Amino acid sequence: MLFSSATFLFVFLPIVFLLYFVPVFRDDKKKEITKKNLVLCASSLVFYAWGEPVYIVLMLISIFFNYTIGCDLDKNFADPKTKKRILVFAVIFNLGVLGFFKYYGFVIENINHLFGLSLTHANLALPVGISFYTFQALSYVIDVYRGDVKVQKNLLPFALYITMFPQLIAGPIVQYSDIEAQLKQRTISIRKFAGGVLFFIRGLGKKVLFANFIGAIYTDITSGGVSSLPAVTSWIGIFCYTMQIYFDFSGYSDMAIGLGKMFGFDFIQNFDYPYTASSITDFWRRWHISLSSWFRDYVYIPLGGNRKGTARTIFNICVVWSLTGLWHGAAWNFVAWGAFYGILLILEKFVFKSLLEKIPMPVRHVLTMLIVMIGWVFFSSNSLGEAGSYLLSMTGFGKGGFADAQSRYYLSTSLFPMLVTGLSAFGVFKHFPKPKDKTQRLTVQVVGYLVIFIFCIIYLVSETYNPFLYFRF
Amino acid sequence: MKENNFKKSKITKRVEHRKKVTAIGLSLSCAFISIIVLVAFLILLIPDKQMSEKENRVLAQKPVLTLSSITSGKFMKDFESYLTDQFPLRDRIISFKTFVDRSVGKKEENGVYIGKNGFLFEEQTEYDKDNVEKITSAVVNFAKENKKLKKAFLLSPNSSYVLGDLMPKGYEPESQKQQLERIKELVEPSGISWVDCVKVFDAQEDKTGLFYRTDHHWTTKAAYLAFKELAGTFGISLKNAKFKLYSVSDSFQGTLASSSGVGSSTDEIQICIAQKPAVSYVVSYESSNKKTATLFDKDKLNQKNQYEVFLGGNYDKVIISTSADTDDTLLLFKDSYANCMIPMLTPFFAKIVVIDPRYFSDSLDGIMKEYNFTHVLFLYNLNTFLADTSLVDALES
Repeated sequence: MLFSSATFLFVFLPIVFLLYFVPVFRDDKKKEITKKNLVLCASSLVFYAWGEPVYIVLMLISIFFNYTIGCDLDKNFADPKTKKRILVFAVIFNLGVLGFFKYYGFVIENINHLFGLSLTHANLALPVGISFYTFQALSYVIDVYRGDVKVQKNLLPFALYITMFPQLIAGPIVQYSDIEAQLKQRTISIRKFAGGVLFFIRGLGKKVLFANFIGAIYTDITSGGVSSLPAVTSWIGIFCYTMQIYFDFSGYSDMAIGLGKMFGFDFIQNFDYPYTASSITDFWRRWHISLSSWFRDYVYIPLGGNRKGTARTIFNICVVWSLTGLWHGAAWNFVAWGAFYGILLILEKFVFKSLLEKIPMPVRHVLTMLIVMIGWVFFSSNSLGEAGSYLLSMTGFGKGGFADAQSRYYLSTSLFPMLVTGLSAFGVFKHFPKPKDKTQRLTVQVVGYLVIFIFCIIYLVSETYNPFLYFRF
Repeated sequence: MKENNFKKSKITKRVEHRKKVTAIGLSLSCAFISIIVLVAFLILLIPDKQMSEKENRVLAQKPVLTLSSITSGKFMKDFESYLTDQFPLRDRIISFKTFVDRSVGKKEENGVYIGKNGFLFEEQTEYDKDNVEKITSAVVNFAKENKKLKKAFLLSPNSSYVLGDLMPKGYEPESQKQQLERIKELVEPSGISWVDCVKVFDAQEDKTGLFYRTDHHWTTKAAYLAFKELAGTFGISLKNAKFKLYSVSDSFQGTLASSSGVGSSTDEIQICIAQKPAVSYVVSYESSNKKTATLFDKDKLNQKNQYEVFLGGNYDKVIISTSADTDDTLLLFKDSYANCMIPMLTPFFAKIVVIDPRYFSDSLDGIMKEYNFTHVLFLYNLNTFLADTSLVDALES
């Protein structure tokens, strides 16, 4: 189920609210929280099964497996050797399952390519959210191994941690240590709920009003092939994609955070105006924060981070960024995208550090943005070759030349949406004058958000407009 | 004492502020929950509709719950379509959305370009050289095999050419004039006369009457202008002929209005009837074993696509036998642009065999032998001509 679907908004959510908030055990706080956890866990399973009626089995296996591993690690905590063996087994199993579903076809195709074979492989559909929940499970197992968190002997809170529907499909990747206490006890209040509503509506608006609208322009531009695009059109296209992916992804994170708040949870922030970054290092502190933190805590630092000399640091960065690239998808253009950032980060750290500090801030912002947009070319393309021809088009030396009539059309029809999304992503609206009085400001905000919500519903319904034109001819 | 009071008032202020914030939070929470619950109830309570007039299709109904429909995920997909299809005020919501889209500068909706003065334009079909050569060489072969027939090719440009000034600024598709020129060069040498619609339409001072605003067809007026040019080509004298236009509808909202969801304007439909020479005729639809004495189906004026008033829509093969005082017989290969012109042709042919290759699966050879044709006409609009290769199959059958 998607948050931006009628089923979720008008059927699933009202029912879950009803079951979750109507108290059953008024006097027994402990029982009431268990009931709440049960409702949330059960509805999360329904939520997942709604989109993946078969693969839910896989998620259940992951839950039982990692729960058992946690208990086993705890039992053998005093025995480092056994403990280590259990951990290695758990990591191999988790990554094995993820690898099988995500990279099996990719690996076979590459083997075929390398050795001129023609091995066939089943086209497995990727189970939704598997990259996210596998990483969450791993964070728990590794933390228990390290002794950073206590083992969860109760299956229900653990299952809830893995399945929780707000962040199940697209993150943020919550680390167990961040949420451990909240699984047992959390504040549920009207203020928090309302804050959650604001977050949720903001996210929904980002997704439905901004990302979908601007994304349609990108799709339109690239639909006729990218090699013949004139430079102007290709820059408009990649700008639109840059906006689409930010509003889509951060919108989904905002909705997750908002829903979490409604149910009393606090998730970490996943995006912090990434397009206002002044360097690539800064960008990755602001983009998909939960993923970068995960790789930092469970790959980069265990490998020695930057404490083992320059050569080792460079190696570590390379490992982390190849993995980051691969995590996003099983294709070479994602690996290239990861490598692109790995190399830039290394350069920034060891070569251009002093130079960068001398560049005036506005120039740094523009440079960072340009690099990020070029990065998205790799990310958005279907293959490395396509990325190459898109980049060529952007230089103006491609078949399409510099500009054509089509470019003017796109410029005139897309200017307004590009301006609005751009200013919003660059954080300009943040600095707009607001009413001084706090309650007044809040009232304005609340009314504005409700209007946005209604607009979201209108756009959601309109997207399904599907005239049947048998009389087309 | 004073300081104490000050502190107190500060605390009460803060408490009051907190209360206010909570009140705002409560109203927001209530509003949010009310909206989703209200919509849920409306979907539940409003009786389900079967058809959407606007979208011209059957709406999704409550899906049936079975084990297999759940494991395959079909139930979930159908349920979502059910909710959105039966959404309260769906049609109005969609109109409102296209209105908002236009206000923020969007000039295209579902493949339809929104032009000035309420004119909607369909996207131009791309000129695929190989495709065109394939079709034209079939036409040329046919011409070579039937040297004795009088042959004409009438290919109408679309509104995106004729009314190009009204298109959204900056949208400049490849010129249809040049495309038509290229096609002309391919077919003319084989002895087929080219009926130059571009010349006829370009000569018109007010071109807005030549195309519907909400539909992709030309109007009866445009068809009449093209017909006059065609008559010249075929050597038909219109000296004593008299045609009259009648208005039959002013509530027409065509395919472009449907595709885009933009429903702000309506069109008038006119029909053209030959008063002199007056002929009677029998129209027989062979595939459905139906015979009528009219070229118009006025029942179609009560349905969504009123353009079907002409000839009742598109059929594989329609045979029109007339009382015209002539031995001339016409074989017509056509798309729907021809439908409104056929009534103008009837006084000048004893028989017209109308073939729409898109639906035609019979053998042309048989038809050629059965009727002794004197004339053959290819009548298409450019967009359909470029997109459709069924003419090749029909000519080679």
